[in-house]
Amino acid sequence: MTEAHAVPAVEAAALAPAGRGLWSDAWRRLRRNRAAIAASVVLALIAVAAIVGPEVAPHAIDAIYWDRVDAPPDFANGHYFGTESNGRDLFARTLFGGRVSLALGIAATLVSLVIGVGWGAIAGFIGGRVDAIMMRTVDILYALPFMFFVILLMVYFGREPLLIFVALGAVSWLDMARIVRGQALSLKRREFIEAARAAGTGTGAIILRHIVPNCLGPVIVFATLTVPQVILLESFLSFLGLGVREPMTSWGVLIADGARRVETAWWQLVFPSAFLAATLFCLNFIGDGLRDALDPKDR
Amino acid sequence: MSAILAIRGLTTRFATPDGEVAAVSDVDLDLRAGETLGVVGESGSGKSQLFLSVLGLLARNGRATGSARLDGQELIGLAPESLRRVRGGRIAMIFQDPMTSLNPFLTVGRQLTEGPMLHRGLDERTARARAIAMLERVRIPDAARRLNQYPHEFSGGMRQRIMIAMALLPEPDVLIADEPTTALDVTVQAQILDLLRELRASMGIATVLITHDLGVVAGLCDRVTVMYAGRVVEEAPVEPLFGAPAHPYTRALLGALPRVDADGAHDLVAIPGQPPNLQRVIEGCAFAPRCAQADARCTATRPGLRAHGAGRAACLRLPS
Repeated sequence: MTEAHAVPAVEAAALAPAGRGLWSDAWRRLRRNRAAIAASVVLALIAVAAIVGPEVAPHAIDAIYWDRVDAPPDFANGHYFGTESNGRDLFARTLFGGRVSLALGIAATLVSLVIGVGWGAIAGFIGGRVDAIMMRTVDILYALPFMFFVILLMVYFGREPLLIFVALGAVSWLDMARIVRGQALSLKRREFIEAARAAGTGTGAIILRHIVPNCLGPVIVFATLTVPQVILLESFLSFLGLGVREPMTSWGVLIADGARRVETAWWQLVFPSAFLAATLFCLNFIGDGLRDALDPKDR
Repeated sequence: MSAILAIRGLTTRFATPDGEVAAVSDVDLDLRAGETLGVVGESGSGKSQLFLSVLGLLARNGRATGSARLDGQELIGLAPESLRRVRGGRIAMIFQDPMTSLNPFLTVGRQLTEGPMLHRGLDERTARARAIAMLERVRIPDAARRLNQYPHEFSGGMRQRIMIAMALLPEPDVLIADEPTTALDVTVQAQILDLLRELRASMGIATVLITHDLGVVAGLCDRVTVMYAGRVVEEAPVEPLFGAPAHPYTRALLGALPRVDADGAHDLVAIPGQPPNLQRVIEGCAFAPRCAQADARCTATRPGLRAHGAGRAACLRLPS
């Protein structure tokens, strides 16, 4: 089949519209989802507030006002969210805490997306011995007590603030790898994967073009769940003195402190919690919107 | 005419927890340039596994031995990377179920351009242009626009047309269609068969049509190979095979074929019994237990393929 197959390529090329990709389509669909767009705007505002807020707030995060310990919110003296039990301004500290918590959330989610999805997809698709070795590695990391792991890291590297990122990153991708592996296992028996193999597509291309896009639904849902999990895990570390150090703070730390004093100083719990809750709400809406947008059938 | 795909002594075994299963045993088969060869047999006769073996697409526990030469190049035992280039590039395959053979997350255009970009090194623009031309060729109207749609936006028949277009786009030498119409309803089946017939006439590509539907074979094929229990039992050009089948199994298959043109007097004759368990080594003819004409000789000696009329058949009761 040579002559019979010749195609007037030039004419057809002129007619061909630009190719539509998964992501450009998803973006188009996402823009139509009002809840997701509103949530993105709110989340962006929170992020901006966390980045510039501590610089423009009336008080510094570490300035101690002995005369205003546990003071309620007051617009006159610039303590918009009141003060905490050491007399420091809660407004500045809440915004500053957002930096730490959001950065941790994003870092852990990225790690879980890149390593977790890649790891799981490769293990699940290739299978056999590769799968066994890769998943046993995950099992070992999973079985390692988290506290033990953190203490081990600190013994080796000292109290580096960066260590929290390493520690949280190291555990955040394990669940994702398992979820994606499960998806990949069921996907690899699907006929379109067999068809792709029969068409001579290489293993790497099959994983990237066929396995990963088909896993995106559960991946995105799980990624939105990773963020709150990591933020709360960080507060647990900080509570034990292994996380962020004073005078720095995070939402997790502020909420833990506030919860202990809720009967006498409600604002210490309410403001940081409201920020965390708003962030999680936004992430859920964005995650939902993304999942719908990435499903070609749903439009 | 010379054979473009020559299979010799191909045997495929699967290691299962209950022992080895010989899905394909010692199959010889020639596909000549430009012809359409029907491979017929009931479920489990090894007809699909035969060609999956050739393409190196067996399940992990499967192992193929023997020889399969594509234009002189040995495919059995070829390095995976070289074999990958053969697949899709020189031998293309169409699968049974078009509803599940397309990736739901990629536009049809992306999936159609994948092969030509991979095997022919085309840039995306040219590949898309070819894809549009090919979609028009398989009678998909408004091809340029439909390229940007997702599989779920197409009907079953349309998807099978897309699968055919996808298989033909890298300009393969051999097309293997594994039950291409089985999952479709009857009217759509007829359209797809028309399309295949038309493409055969215009492109002259050597085609293997794997099917259990003898009606499809009669309408489309030049030659037919009948498989039973992993072996070829008869091979002949279409007309002699339908007119005067040599092997009792072929006769039984034809007898089990419903006919619309016959009067009520023609009853369907089901083949009694079950196909044999391929885990056991079969002495003699595998069809003997279900064969009305079988005698003691049939259960003791395995018949080889012998020339008979215009083709070959494996039955001891044929006059030699």
